[in-house]
Amino acid sequence: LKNKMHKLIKRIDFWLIIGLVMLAVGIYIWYAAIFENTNGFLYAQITIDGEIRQTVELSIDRTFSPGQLPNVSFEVRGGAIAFIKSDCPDQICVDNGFLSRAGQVSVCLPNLISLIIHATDGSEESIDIIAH
Amino acid sequence: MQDQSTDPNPTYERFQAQWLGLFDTLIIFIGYAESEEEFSRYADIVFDRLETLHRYYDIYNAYENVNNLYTINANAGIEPVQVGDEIISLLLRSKEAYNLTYGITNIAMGPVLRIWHEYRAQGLANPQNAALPPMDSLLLAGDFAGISGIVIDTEKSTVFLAESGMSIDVGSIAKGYAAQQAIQAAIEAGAANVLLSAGGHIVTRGIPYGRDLWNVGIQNPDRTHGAPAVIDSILMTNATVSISGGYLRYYEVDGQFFGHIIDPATLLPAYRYQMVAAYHPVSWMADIVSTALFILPIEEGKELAAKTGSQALWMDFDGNFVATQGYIEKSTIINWDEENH
Repeated sequence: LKNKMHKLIKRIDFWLIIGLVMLAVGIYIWYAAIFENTNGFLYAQITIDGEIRQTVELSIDRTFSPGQLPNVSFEVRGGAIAFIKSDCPDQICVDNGFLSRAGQVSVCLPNLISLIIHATDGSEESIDIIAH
Repeated sequence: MQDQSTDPNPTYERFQAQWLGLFDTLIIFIGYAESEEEFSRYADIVFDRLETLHRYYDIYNAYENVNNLYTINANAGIEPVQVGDEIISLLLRSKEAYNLTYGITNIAMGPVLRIWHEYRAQGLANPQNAALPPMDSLLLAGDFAGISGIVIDTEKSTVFLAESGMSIDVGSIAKGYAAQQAIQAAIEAGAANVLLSAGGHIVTRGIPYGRDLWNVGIQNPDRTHGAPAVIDSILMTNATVSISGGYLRYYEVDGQFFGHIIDPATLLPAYRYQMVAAYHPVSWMADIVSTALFILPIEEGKELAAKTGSQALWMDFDGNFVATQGYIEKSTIINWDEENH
């Protein structure tokens, strides 16, 4: 009887392990599918005179100025980011409006500032670059 | 352990470099390489080439020990100027472009473009007093825009502008030709899978590792918050897409927008389309074709596209699209129906 019990437990163990493995694989596929659908997370990079000065997360709405340039302001709204104020004469950067997609860029040439959107998984949301 | 140079299955990583200021735009260089060192080597080559060409093709500034387009313009009607191959080859292509586009892209339009440039700069700096240039001064400038007045001597490597008052403006071709030479220099140094973006001008070579083709988005000219960021994207390799439109570089007079692309027939900014994209295997060709298509009526534009082996997309002010069949085949976002091409 003891031996039989032992075999039964072994059999239960076997199916339990198979079940757990299948569950793990299932969860993995489920997560992978979700991750694929969202294409990772977007973030913005602010470059001043060729150097990356700030990496901006886009999930919290706010306005801010980079420390070195109080006359330039950015706004993050609804996952998008824009230059909203600049002391440059042409205002091209402000006119450029909100960027919301990986590969998009906006530039303030007079202040040597560039704003570029990237995706965290490096896929750039499958678009490599956006011509503007 | 295999030697790296003979590794049949090397792994590539994506790298990116960017520079602001050259050719008055943000330059982005993307490449796949086995290491950051390898990519940096290519990036340095691209930057050096672009910086050199920026100086040669600059019409606004003189540089020490360099004869550039500024030098040629400053010597108009005075004497021929000795220049390097980079300038001779640019000007020869510009003349070819003039013939291909029925004179629509004309680098001798400098005197006219200079007036518009001045009024635009003033209008942007001081929007309250923004004004249009008087027609008589444009017409007078137009008298000095004959391309035959640009005399190129390939034997002596000199360029002479026949009349004082003439000037060269290479805005429709310089960026495209410079990008082509810069990416070619990287290819010759061993780069295989690279993309060079200079604003509205994207040159692609090879592929993005793990995918078959580069995917190049075309920004929506409508930049209001919540509007889609891109109107279309196209799949491509070993080719260039160049866009012309009112994205930047326009100014406003009495509520009307005036762009930077001037129609040589009217001497006024072209206003037929919101945006035009041209696709061509050769970078400088894509650049001049997109400018010409932005100016030409649609039927003539379609003829030009066919004649030059280009593919193209036109977007009007109501957001309607027209495209060539070859463009539609590369397009991934616009849902093409039967009547719009």
